[in-house]
Amino acid sequence: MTTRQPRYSGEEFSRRGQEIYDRVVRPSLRPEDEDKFVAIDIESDSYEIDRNDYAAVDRLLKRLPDAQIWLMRVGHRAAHRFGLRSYTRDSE
Amino acid sequence: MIAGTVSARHEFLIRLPVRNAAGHEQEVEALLDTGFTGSLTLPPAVIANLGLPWVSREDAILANGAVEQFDIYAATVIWDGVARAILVEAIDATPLVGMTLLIGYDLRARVQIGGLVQIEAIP
Repeated sequence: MTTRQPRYSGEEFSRRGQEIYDRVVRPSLRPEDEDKFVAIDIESDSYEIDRNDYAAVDRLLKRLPDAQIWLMRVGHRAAHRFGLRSYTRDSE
Repeated sequence: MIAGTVSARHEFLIRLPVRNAAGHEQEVEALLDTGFTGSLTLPPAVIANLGLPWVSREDAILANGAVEQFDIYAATVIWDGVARAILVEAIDATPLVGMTLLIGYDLRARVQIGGLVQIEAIP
């Protein structure tokens, strides 16, 4: 089994992932999907959604072992956050 | 129950075994970051030593509001005696434990140098 490696630049991951999110994922989201993690295969438009980040990635890899995954979070600019900083809700 | 200590800088330190798919374990000393929404970060050297598989990339927001991209690996941690599959961000710094691992637990600490940190499953 070959070791999985990123095959794209960081900029490509971000750009392709966001494009698939906007085109394919966003139209299918329901209100209860807020805050869920979205694992997106940037090569195939396939994705998985789960409240747990590991579960979303794991489920996508089980379907597509070669997936190049970009991880996002519904309603958030980024998948995770470090440290604390005060924001008003709109600016986060 | 997980027992840790309060450091000289008043950080919450815990020791955590990290395991790879072959069952090899390495214990790391990690800081609890209550502002970290993930599970665990590990230095690239530890990730390489364990041969953890790369699985994903992500953006994350840092404490100063900057957005950076990280490589994500898959690992198993022994959390309160139970093996848990988690995502790990590769960051070349002291490992951080995040709130995803703490869901369902009580956290208590005596915040003085050398004080006890206790993480215990909610009864």
